[in-house]
Amino acid sequence: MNRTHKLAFSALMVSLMMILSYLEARIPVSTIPGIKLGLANCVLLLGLYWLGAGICWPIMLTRVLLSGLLFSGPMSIVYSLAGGCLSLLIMQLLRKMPGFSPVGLGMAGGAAHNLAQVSVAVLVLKTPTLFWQLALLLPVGAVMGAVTGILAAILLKRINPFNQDTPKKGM
Amino acid sequence: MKRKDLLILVVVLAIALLCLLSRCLWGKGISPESQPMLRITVGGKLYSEVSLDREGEILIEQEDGRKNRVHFFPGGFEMAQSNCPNQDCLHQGPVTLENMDTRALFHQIICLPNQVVLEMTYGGEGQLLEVVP
Repeated sequence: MNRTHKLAFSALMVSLMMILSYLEARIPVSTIPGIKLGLANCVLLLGLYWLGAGICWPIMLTRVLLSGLLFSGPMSIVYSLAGGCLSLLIMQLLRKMPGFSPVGLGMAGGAAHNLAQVSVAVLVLKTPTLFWQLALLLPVGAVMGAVTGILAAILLKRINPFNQDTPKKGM
Repeated sequence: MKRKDLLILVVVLAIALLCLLSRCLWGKGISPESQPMLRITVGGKLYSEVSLDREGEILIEQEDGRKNRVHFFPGGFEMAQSNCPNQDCLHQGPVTLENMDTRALFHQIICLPNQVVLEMTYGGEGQLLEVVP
């Protein structure tokens, strides 16, 4: 897989993430700010396995910027950025450690995303009691993340876009 | 599909439980004579505090055009109207003394786009406090 191939594929992933997040915004899951399916995270998870952690950062940042400018508005960019950064960081760290499957990464990523967003809300609204919402948002984020992780695990087994040896042990 | 993944679930649930615990303990230190009040925070700054012993409405209009209308009554309050894009704050439903432990957002209604937080609080003199000019 050469650089151009990787670049083109990354651009594809950014578009996929944007479409998915746009689509899932059309399906109201809950009135609680922060609860969403997180399907776009599935794409990022696949990126971690297929492309490596390094290029996932520009993918995530590009998606946050473009989605924010096109769809949700500048204020929400801060929230998306925080969520994206923490969840990618945690998923990246777990990817390096042995014994975790995409499901675990998805769970941690989903929970981390919500943790970061609540933290930003606490800072912006200066209401520390918002941290109590984590009692619900953390498990829900983990469950949604597990779903995206399962999805990613299935796709990793069935699709090998670069004919490379992706570690599939233990999925 | 999971092995060490269970560890992550445990950690997440542990933190969530901690938050739940701290929330439950908050209700313990309040004396039954305390007056329930509605506290409104806009953009992180205290906007108003109202005693929840009568009915009324508060209109919050921010400089950039963001508007919220709060309806309060004895023992509770709700977001009556908002010009935010997602209207989640309206769908979150009212906060009352009876439901504030079982609601998803407990004692708060949050309008994230307009940065308005309505919360149930206690104590105070029960006066209407207009802090914002």
